[in-house]
Amino acid sequence: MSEVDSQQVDGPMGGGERLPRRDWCQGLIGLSGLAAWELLTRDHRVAWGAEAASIEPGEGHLHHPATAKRVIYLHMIGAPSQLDLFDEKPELVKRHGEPCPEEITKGRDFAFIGKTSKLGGSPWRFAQHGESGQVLSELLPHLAGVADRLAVIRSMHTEEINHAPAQMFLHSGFGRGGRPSLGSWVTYGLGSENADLPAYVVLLSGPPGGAGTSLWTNGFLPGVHQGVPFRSQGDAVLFLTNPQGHSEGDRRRVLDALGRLNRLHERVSLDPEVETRISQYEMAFRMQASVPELMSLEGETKRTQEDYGVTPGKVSFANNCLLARRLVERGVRLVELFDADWDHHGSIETRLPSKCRDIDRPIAALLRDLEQRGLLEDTLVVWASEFGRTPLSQADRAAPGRDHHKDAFAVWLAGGGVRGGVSHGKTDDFGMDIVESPVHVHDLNATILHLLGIDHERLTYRSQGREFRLTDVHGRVVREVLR
Amino acid sequence: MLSVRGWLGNCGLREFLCLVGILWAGFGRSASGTEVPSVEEPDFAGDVYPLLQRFCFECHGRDRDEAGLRLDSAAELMAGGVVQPESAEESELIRRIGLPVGHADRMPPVGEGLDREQVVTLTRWVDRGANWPESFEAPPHWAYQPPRRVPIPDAGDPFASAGASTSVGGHEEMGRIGVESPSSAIDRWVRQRLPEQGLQPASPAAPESLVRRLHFDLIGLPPSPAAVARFVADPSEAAYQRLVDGLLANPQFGERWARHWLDLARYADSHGFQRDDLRDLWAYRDWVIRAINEDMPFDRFTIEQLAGDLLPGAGPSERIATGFHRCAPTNVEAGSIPEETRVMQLIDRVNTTATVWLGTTLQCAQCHDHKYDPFGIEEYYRLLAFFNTTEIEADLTSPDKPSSIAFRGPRLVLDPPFGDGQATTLVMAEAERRPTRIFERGDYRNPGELVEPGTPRVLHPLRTEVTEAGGPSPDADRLALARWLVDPANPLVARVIVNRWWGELFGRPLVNTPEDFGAQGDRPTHPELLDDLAIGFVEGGWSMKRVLRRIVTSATYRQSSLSDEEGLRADPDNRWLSRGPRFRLDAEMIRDNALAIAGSLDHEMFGPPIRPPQPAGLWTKVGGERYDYQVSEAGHPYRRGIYIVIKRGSPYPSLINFDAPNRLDCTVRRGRTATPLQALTLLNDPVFVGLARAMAAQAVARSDGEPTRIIEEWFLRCTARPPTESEREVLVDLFEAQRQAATGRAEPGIESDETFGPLDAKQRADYSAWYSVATTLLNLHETVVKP
Repeated sequence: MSEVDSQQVDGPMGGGERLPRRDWCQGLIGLSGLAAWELLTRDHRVAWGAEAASIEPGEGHLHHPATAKRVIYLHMIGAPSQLDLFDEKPELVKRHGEPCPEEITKGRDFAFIGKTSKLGGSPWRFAQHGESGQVLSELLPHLAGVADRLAVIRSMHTEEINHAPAQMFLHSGFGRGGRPSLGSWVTYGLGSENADLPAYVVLLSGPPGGAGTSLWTNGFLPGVHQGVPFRSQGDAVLFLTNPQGHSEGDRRRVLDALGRLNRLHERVSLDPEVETRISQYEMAFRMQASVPELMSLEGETKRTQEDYGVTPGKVSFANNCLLARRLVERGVRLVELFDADWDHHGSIETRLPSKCRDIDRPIAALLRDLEQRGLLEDTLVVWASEFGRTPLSQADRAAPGRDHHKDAFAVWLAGGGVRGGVSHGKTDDFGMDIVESPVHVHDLNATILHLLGIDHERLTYRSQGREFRLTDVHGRVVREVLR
Repeated sequence: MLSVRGWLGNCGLREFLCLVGILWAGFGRSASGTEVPSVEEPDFAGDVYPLLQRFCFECHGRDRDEAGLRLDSAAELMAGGVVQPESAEESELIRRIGLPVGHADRMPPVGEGLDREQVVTLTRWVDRGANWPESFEAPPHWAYQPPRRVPIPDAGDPFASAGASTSVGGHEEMGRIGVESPSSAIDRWVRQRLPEQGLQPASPAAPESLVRRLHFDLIGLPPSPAAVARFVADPSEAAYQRLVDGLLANPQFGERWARHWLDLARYADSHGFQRDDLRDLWAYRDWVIRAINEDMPFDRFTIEQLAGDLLPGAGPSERIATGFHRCAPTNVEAGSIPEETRVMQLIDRVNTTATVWLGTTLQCAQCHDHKYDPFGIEEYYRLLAFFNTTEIEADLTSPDKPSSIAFRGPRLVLDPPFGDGQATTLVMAEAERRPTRIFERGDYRNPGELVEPGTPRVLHPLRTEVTEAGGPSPDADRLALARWLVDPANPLVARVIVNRWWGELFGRPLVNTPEDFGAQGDRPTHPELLDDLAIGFVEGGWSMKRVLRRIVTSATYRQSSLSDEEGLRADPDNRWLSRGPRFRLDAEMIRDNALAIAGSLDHEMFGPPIRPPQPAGLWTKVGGERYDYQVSEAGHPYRRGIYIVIKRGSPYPSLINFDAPNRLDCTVRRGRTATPLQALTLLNDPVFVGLARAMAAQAVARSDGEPTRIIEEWFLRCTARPPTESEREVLVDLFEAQRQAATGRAEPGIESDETFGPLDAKQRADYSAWYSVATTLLNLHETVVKP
């Protein structure tokens, strides 16, 4: 850095042109915010420089060969009813309307309903689909078409019974704030594959979950690992657009002058952070071009648009599914979609079908599209929510719904190393309790990391005086759903 | 079972020799580049044993002998065969600790492991015979021993061996500081360590750098051009002392240092969780600012915040102070369980108290006895018992309606001068002492054995008989706990506090794990200095300002932060303090700095939180509640960052992008990262855009419109120094190029300005050019970095 030829920074692209293409994380070497590179080297930079240089973020693997390189995580905020979508309970249907047997509710907390509530069977029919005979409800007809891709876990359980703590728990393994989310852990471990986009992107349809931005927070990890929301309305990324009256050419002139001044300062100060700052501004400039291009669905064929059911320019889960494909195509490590309004305490008979219509077709289209493009092979798709819903009917509303249920719910995985068509775990006749192969949230997170080539026990970060893990001191990889 | 011998396997000896070679090459270089032979044998008790204890004993110690290997005694170590005395090359232990993270053989298998220097220490120890003295007994952990004052080595003039001045902008080296003073004790302790690291102290910072650094450190704002000019004209020792005194007395001092404390206090303006309603606690924030400005002795500062309500004759100020623990996030989501929320808050209070005052990570002991530190699960709940007395803060308003949960708890009406007689603030109030039981595995639904309030046995005793003017405390209550925390016999508190302040000023604290002074934490780089500062703090009447004054008047603080390549390589993190601090400003300072540069800063202090402009739709419907974001009226959006509303579920993005925490929990140290989002924020956030526009309007309105003059003035406001010839040229070129580009262009440019009004054609081009220059300067690396 000591010999900087000022001629180099001239020219139409100023400092940007000659900067080596760095990825989002690599550009940060020298600061504390350095994903995998930092993890792998830290103070050992000198001690084993050779090894460090050979392990680049986004290349190689962290602990073992990965079957998934990236993740699309679909989070249904509010918790859909597993009993009406994935976990068929004929006995519950048969006894619909009967008072709940006391031994079933004993020692159990519910958020809203009393323990004497009545049993609520599902009004929807279930059927087997695909070669695997995966059982799905009639509310998800399109998903049924890709049933053989899904590994459905029907024996999930969690610790928290209220939305915000349960959302935090699912994302960070801790029911209160302050810990990094799964996406931050993953980008911390693996870095990024794209120079012009963040490694962890968040897409919202509807308001965020009750835990707000803490669902994609980096917690105690370096700030570069925070999830970055991409928005369908307003600036796609906050502050992406130049102010009115300041054209792209004007901005380029500013950045060129800025680059020159910073380099002049670097010569005097030898401050290693100057280089970082310069590359940060060039990345920002590139994002100003790459993000709008990315967010525009106009370039997609009519056929693709129809498959997903997108409406360009609107905020919708369908649009976000297509955007998710575009993001992972460009090397974004983890894309998380949050879809709002699944908290059906009342009117479940009308609200649940309507919500299913929002997601069913786009998800099926996403899985097919990824597959056609050869991306499903190494892209993990996760569908989950913070908990499930009770087999008891919540009848304190005009039309009944179901209450929060943490002891048994369902999630599914597909793609990147997942064995499609698998059904894992079982609940009792009422769907109240797990009777076979329980899968805790920590187990799910351990499994996701495992697929990405990360040993959940070894991806740690020191904070507040101890080594933290996403899975705390728990977690078991659910091998039964792996290929 | 894995044979220990087998570990050696085909361990590349080549690989290992290479490692050692690199280690030695990278280490022990002097500033002039010559090798400094480091042949001394490391001190077993002081340097070696603590490393073995910290990195090895968890799995290879008394409680666990993973792979049949124990390392916690000389006999066990030798029997294990992993160390070959006098031959580090053949010692499996040394090989494994030096392997890269991710290598299957690396030890320890989890966590950061040993750093370069720690590996060298153990390597040296093995090479010198792996001597484990027979008489050795594991010493008590340093941090639980009272601070000791040891004689200061006489190192003469702190700048005696400093090289030639490397001042920026052609200024003369400032006068030497060599008089005997408490701050020169700092310099001696620092200088003592430099030769062993092969380092030399940097020359004194140029006055313009120093005056800027000092302003950010003491008041969080840049110096005015006049203040810079004054100090550059007279950078004498007396002038510097006056400057320090002036800034310590400035009311903005409290605003700058309150930010640090409020991170610890997890202060915010909303509940957190799904029902993220706003709540009124800002009077507590104001209390902190006032207390810091008044230099309230830290023992008093502690007692009022933890137990002000229990002080005899507690007035409104003491009660407002108890807002500290009302900052705990509160879950009032419909359907949440009040008792669970209450217990979670208690746990938050215990953990926060232990982190803030004891630098101890007690939360491990919530579920089991602490693995590394001498804190049992019972002791955790004994501490919790002190807090298990206050009113419930979330409850059902109608007992059989789970959706009727509401935010409760005592509030104080704020009469003048604290408020208008209407506004309120959350306070603590004693209700009744509840029985406290140990929660098995940390779960409140599994209550176990009953415990009484008490403090950890490894520390000094709790005194329930209090003799000071307050009279005897009848019980082991919060007041007794607060007094116990700031008892001069407490070996931790003063060290923990001064260490954090040191970290704020230098970017790296003396104990680099400021949240953990336990066995797993770092040891101090300069233990004698830490103790000296801690003892001085208590002896100086717990005065924060005295400690800060002492540090900022040291030669160590006043060093230039410019470094040569050798120095950077030898000590990239400046752990040995051979140069001054240099790092990016905090989120709030970045905002305040820009406001001050543009002349837009509103200095109004105190009161309800402000809302600067932010993109629409961020405060959105959550949990059935809609939160509207209304931008504050006239002037108020341009008040200091400390007053910006903190909604935990949707904090102000321009602060978050610069590593401000969301205040959901106690934050001891913020990150300091660099991301493209920061560039976008400074370039395009409407607040920063507004500041650049304000500057452009000022420039266009001036009649002395010589561009170089304005450029020089602005540059000085941003960096406290005049631009060099080349720097001025870059900016003049930008100005001319942008003016030309904007002249008569078809696309719509900037047509009018909020303050200036409509612009004619010439003014439009000038405005556009000045806007670009202003934006460039506000985004300069130097502008956002403390020099």
